[in-house]
Amino acid sequence: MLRKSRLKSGGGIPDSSMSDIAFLLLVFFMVTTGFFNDKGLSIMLPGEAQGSAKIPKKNLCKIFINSAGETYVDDQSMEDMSTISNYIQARMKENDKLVVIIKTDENARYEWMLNIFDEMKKIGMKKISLQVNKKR
Amino acid sequence: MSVIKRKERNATANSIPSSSMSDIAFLLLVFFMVTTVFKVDNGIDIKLPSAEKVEKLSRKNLSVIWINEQGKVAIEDKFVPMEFVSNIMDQKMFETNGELIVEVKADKSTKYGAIDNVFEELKASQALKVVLGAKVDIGGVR
Repeated sequence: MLRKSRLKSGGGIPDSSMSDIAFLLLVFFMVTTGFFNDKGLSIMLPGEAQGSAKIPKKNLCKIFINSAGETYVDDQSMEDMSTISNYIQARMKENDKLVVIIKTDENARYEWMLNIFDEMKKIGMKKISLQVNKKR
Repeated sequence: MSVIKRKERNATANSIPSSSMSDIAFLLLVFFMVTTVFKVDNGIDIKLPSAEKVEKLSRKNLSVIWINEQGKVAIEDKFVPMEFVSNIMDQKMFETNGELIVEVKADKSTKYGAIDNVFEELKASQALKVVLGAKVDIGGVR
């Protein structure tokens, strides 16, 4: 009789605060967790060896971005992003070796160049070259 | 008689089943413990440009170069001079056995000259796999 009652009182681990502990740890991990969801546009920079390959002029399409944010495609001013992509798409159809050169003024905003770059990715243009226009 | 009856009904209706509460808590706890990565690069204060055709990046072999509005470069929460970028990237290239992927996170109003300088530094250390960090365009508004 005596032994039985002692067992009853001493044998159980107190578990009423278990969920409190669990929630405490839960809140700690929720606060410290940093989810990684970086996204971006991938690009392969030209190495030293392949950089010198000459591309015939008819396979080139130059896009200039000047410091005021104006865009010139093959020396024609094009304001609208859809005009540019239509033009490039038309040129891609007649020449599948087309290489697009995005030549950006060094004082131009990074965003402008990235928008053009994004547009080229959207229409499936893979061969893109990035150049900078430095003032002497 | 009627008083006792009402009391009994109240006692049964008011208790939320709480026996599975700690199970739920532990389940969430395990989830967050597994997904937690403690070393988080806080970075510097920039506004990323937005793009649509973005790819998701993985943390593996990734190194982030931050460029702020003034064209200052930061790597791993420390500002570094432009000339040192290629030294740091040389070391990272060695650590990752040449598999390094560099993410360039630049402010959208950074001048392109600064970005190009970073590209030149990366070329010098043969770190050619580059990703231009961008956030997803919501609603397609430019």
